[in-house]
Amino acid sequence: MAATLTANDDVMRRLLPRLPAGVWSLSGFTVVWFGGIVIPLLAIILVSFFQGRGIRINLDPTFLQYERFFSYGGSDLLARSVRIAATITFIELMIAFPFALWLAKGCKNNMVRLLTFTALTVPFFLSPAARVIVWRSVFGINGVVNQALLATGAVDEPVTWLIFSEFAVHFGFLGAFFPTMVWPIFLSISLIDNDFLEASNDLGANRFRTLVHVIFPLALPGVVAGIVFTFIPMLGDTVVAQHMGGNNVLMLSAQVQSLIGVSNFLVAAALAAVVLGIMLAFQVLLWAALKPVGGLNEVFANLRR
Amino acid sequence: MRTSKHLYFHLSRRNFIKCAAAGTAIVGAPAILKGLTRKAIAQDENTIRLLITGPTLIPGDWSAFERETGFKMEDTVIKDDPGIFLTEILVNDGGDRFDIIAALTGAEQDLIDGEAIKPIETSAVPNWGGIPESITQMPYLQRDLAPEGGYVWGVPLAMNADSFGYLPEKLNEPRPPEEASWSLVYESEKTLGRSSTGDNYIYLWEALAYLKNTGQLEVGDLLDPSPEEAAATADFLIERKQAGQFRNFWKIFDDQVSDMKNGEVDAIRCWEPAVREANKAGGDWVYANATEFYTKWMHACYIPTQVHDRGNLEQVHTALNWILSGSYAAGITPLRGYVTGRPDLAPQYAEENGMGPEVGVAIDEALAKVKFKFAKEDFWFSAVPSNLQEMQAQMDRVLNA
Amino acid sequence: MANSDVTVPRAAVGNGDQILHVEHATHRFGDVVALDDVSITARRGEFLTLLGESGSGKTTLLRIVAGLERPTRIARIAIDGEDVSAIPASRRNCTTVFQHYALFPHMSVGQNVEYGLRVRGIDRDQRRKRAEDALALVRLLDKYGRRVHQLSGGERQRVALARALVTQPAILLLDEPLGALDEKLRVDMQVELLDLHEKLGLTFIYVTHSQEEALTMSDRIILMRRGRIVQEGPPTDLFDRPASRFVADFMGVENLLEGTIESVQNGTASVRIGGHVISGAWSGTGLAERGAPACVAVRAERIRLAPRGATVDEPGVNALPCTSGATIYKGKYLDQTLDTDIGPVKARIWDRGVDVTDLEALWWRESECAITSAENGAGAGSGEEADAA
Repeated sequence: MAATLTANDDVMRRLLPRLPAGVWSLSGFTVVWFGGIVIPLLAIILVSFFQGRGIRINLDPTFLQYERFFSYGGSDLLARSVRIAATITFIELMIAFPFALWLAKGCKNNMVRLLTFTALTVPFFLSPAARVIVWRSVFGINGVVNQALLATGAVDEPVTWLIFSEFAVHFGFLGAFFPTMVWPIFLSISLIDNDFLEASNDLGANRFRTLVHVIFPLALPGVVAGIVFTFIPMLGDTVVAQHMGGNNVLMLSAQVQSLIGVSNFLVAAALAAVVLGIMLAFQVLLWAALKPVGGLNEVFANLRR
Repeated sequence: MRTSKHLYFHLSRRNFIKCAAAGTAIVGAPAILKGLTRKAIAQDENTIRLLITGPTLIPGDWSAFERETGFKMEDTVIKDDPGIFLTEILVNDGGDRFDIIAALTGAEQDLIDGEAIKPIETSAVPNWGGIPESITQMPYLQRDLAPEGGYVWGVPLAMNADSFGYLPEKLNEPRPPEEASWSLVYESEKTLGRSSTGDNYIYLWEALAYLKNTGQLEVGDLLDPSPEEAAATADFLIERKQAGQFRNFWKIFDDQVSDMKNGEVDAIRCWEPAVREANKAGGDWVYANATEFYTKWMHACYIPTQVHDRGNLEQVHTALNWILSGSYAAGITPLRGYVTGRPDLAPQYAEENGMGPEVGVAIDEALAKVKFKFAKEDFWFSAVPSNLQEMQAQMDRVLNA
Repeated sequence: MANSDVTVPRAAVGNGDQILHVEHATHRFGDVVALDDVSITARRGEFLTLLGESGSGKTTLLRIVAGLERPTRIARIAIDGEDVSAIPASRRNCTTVFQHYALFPHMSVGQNVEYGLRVRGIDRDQRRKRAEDALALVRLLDKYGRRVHQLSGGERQRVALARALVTQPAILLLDEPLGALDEKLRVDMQVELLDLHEKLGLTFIYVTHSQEEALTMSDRIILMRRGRIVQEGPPTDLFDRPASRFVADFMGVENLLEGTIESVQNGTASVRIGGHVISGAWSGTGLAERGAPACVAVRAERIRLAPRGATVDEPGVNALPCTSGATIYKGKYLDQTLDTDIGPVKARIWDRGVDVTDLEALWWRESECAITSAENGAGAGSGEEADAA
């Protein structure tokens, strides 16, 4: 790959002599990304190791902010947030994969496919809060579901745990993050040449075997992307847990908001650093999980023809 | 005199650049990009730009204001979390973009320390002089707004004595003006699983007031709780939460209203307008005359320092005068039940402008409120208590449990 | 051998040595008729080619045999005596070599070849051995561990072949496998395929649009057009005795002269074209009828030139006075157009020394031309021809 050199590249080359040639052609982007994203992140992590109040910071290194975080019930918070996010991501994968498979390969009717796309995208025209609040009137004590249950005699009293509970939070996440899981998998699967499926069939594999040996490995990039795009934003979600859970189910990012609300920036920074740590751990997990099939590189390299 | 809570110093762009040489990468990128991300609000001679933290304090529309002052009003609502509000003013130079700042009292010292506001010349705001003594003599107005030598730090926007809403028929409780107890929210068997309160430090503070007034806890200074007191209150709330007392903890005004309208709760610590909203849907909610205490608050209007440099001080004074006029009172009191700085001017205004009798009724209620509710000793709360962060942390503990 | 759920059991009833029966297959894609009442058979061990242009239905027919397409209507389809109409592709005893190979990109060459065995549950060592054998057959054993994208086009083709062969199918189906290769490679591969065919003794059904390929490799050719069979038979039949103008044209006959049948005698037909009468062997469909339109098909190689002054009066010869037209250099020969009063005729001049400036006539032997039905002729199935050009 020939790299076109510009004046910018020359400067970069002088400063960082040992990076491979391909980087030079991305120099502009890299600088912006580094300056705009990486440096602030590092700043946050750095800050969390100091003391202070509000925005006054004393430069004495300490773990105090982290101690505070954990003393505010932080470990529960962490455990709960990760547990819920992991559970939902798993469930989404189980639901979204067959759905994406059907949409990409099974659905012959273009009209149906078009309508499905629309149904998946339209909710995003509403604000996240608006999408979620609607469920309150459905799951509430006097809501539609309860009315139906009472009318059919399934229960004697309205069911209270449908809303402001973990059930509600799970439900809210499930709906909100379904498209983020479906889209990458759908794209990945639609890129699978039908020839491969036919060849697999022709060679003696029934549908299930074709799914396992051909479709799934080739859809793996989409699956990985889907998992990443679902799990990580879910950790950062502030809307669903609050509105569906009524503050009964506290999640990480809501906590950051409330800390910032009282100018407790340092503990918020510590919390942010912890979240970053979780995301890193998650990436490591992903990397390790993909090792048996050749690692992350391989998974995407399979798209090479 | 007030003690400064020392959460902020004025970290404006100017100060920062001075510190930059000695500074570190800690505040590197965000501050550099800060200037690029500020939204430009056009400044126009005849427009007053208002930053306000209480959405319910905005009248139905500003047409009366525009008619009577000849200026346009542009309001911007910001979340009332002290951290967010103070950051906006002190770090993001809110004063550059707003002519009047309206917020919960208690943050004045931080704003003064940060050189963000300048005292208001009371002679320039004629209606200030006529504020009823029952209001000006409130110890808390004296404490926070500190009128002195012809100057005052802020001008009252509206105030209220908050309690809670409940369903008297369903709970078999007396109606106002007979008193009902806060236990309906915190400890009553009658409302187990069907009560709710808010999710931040303010509501922890109230629980503390409850514990003090029911003799369950020894409290030193209710106006400035200590970390130990906060922790003890949190323990109490956690115990009640795990016993299944609370249906949920609401975050915003709409949450309160939806809880009431959807029949999720029978007693709820809420803002007074919420009761009116809920009753629009045919409910029978009443706002309690509480036995133990009221949560008294005042929103005040401040003038940012930058106004003096910009040269539209006169327009701002006129706007503040309007806020202390019968027009605002007649607009907001019947709508929300709040008490403004000059409730006395409202009846005359109402008559002159052909408004209905409900204004008079509302004003009378407001004045009665001043007499009875405000008179109860506990408690007047400030936006920024000394141990703000500990209190919020304790409340978070409650929410986490 | 393999798991019994995959192999089609041998039929108890003898079917002669026909390994494939397709009877009255019709297939539609929406409004388009891809196959119109087509029936074919294949003999065990033969190299059968389905020849035609795109849209002729040859690939559709192949896919129906493979089981990748379910025909809209079919009377019978049997492989090795067993009716397979209800059996899906994965359980039919035939494999396909696809036009674009369809090698699984996420597997190595070896894994690709092993695939058919793997899904039959064969254990690892056995699989490996058989895959290696198959790769050895196509001379790619050293590429066992390579990834697909590291191979050239020709190599991929051979891997696809190995993959299809390793399961020892009864019929090997090849869908224009050499289409993507360059000319030299294609020719080499044709030879290889023929070798393999001979070595293995399998039945090959080969789809191509190239008549040269079909001529080179086939035992029998089925030429299709628009969903119908227009002629079938050994290569020499289609080459020397085309059944219709279309077949002649498709098989590369350069000179097609249309006229009307004047007389018929013992398999010879005479055709009047303009002021000339041209005779040749009748190879059209059905019987020759006086007055029916027909087409004279004579290959350019057969055209000889008579210089001025020479007379052409041998018996059994067709002659036409002509003058020289355009000459095109083709390397091995010159493509010479000769103008006659019934149209241009192409000839090939192999000998550079021949002078074409002043000619008396061109001529060819009657035995070296065919008289075919005009236009497209009737198909091998039933039904009227309704098409215009």
